[in-house]
Amino acid sequence: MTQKGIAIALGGGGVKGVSHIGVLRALTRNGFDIQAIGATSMGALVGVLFGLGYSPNEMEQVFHHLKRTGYSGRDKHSEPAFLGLRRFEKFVREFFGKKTFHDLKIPLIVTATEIEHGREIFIRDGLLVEALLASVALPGIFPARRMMNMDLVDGGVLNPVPVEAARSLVDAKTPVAAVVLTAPLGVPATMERIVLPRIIPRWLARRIKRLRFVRAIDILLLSQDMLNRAITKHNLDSSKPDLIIRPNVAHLYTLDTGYVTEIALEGDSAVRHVLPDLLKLFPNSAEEAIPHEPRPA
Amino acid sequence: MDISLALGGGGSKGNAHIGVLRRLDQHGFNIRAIAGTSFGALVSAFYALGYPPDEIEATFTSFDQNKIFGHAPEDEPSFMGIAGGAEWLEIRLGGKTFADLKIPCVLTAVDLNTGKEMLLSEGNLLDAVLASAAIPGIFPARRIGDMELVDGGTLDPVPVAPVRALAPNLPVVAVALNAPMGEPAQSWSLPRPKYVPQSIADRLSKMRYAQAIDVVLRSVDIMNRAVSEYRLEVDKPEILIRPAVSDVDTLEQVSISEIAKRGEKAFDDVLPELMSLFAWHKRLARTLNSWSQP
Repeated sequence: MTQKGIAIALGGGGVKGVSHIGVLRALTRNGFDIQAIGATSMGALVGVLFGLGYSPNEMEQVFHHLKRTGYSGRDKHSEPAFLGLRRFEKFVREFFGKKTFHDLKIPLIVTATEIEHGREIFIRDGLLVEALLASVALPGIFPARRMMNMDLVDGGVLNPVPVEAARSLVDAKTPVAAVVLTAPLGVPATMERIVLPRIIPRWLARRIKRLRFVRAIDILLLSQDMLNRAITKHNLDSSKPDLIIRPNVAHLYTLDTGYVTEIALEGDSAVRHVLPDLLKLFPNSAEEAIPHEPRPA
Repeated sequence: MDISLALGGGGSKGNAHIGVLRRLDQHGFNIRAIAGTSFGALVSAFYALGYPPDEIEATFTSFDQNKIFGHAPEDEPSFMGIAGGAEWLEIRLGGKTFADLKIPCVLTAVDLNTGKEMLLSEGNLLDAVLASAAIPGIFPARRIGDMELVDGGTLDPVPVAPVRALAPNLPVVAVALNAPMGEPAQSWSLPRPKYVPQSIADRLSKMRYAQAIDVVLRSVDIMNRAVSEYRLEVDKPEILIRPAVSDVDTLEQVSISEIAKRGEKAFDDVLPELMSLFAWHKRLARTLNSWSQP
């Protein structure tokens, strides 16, 4: 059977990115050969794990672990940020150590945004840890990363689903699938609520959230979410992936921790949903997969 | 020479629109429809009411820019509020509706509840202007009916498509105020309240929290520009005017006549291109086009 080669773009979206695990699992199970990955933010973490050869189960274990330890925490040396990424950084440093892009079994581009001039940057060599920390740096929330004389933040700022990055790694015949985690425009927004530390009792949190000042921040975040969806739409309109896969995760908050296994399963079911369209991209192998039955006379 | 006009958002940068309008008038262009967002909505409303550009400039200059911010008791929550500006506008636009306008005009805003761009073209004019100018979080969102409206520039910084819908066969002249991609990102300094001395303001701005906010604002600026570029690419206005205003802060106090002059300068740069749209064969093509699509 001919291999169904495909390139894939894994979008950003914090905890929603866990659904990428299910997408990759379902694609592999259905005989697709993932030949290249373009990834940003949490998509980059999943992409790197997949590229190093970790199984879907092992990837889920990584997220279970991160859920236990948490991601945030500030340290004195990092760039200014509201939450900081101390625990996440500690974890990825221990887990990936000195591994570089050369250790990957699949070509991979991790994207980040250069904040000074607003450019999308493709990272394709060097330490995996450095690329990851730049790509997940949600502006203001997590510290910007200084690399190659640039201040880098989350690649999702300018391009939430790096389709061009994935496409640049394969020949023109190979289809590119985009895994999109942001809600489409026009769907009511999920309030990207301010996440208060759990130490604050619920009654106090309720009061804080009713403060006029906090509600103003809410509106700011809400409109940023819309801006992000508008950018996603325009990007997809111009980059034209061959297929869009949308796991049903729009209701999750980016900084939630969530149920790892369940979120991953949303990825599997999203692939099941588009499987007929996906097979249409491979007319030849589809024929092999479904042999012609001689029609009864 | 008939055209339609789309005026983009950008706070204080928007005074450049006045210069563009003045030049259009001087060269005998006939603005048959106008769409505006944010500060562009404010200028559009005055122009559509019949204010000549010179009078718009004089009116805006008469306003004491120190008084723009502030909160009114019934306002929705926001950081700065725009109570002073709203009170001043009430005197000039109060009681007026879209029916009072001399040319077709649409103002844009975004509904926070549905995430859709809303085209405001009827009802109370002042409410529409304040909704269109409600920079999210900074100025209060405006409730009109079931909608909770903020700045139209959030999703569409230059309303080209809305004005084209208003006057389908006319060339669209669009005035964009945000910097093109590739120029350094801007953070916008919030104006310092008078009771905070400069020395303390300087210290505050060096705090880590302030720096983190700075990173947020710069990335919002980049996102805004990206959306702007995409929309301009898709909507393709016939003429794009970009006044050189990237050094002007959105909420800065400015010399209105100086910024208006930059609008004139940018207009002069595109005038030959604009005139070429009115060569006889181009006009004929538009007329034929309008016959073929009733």
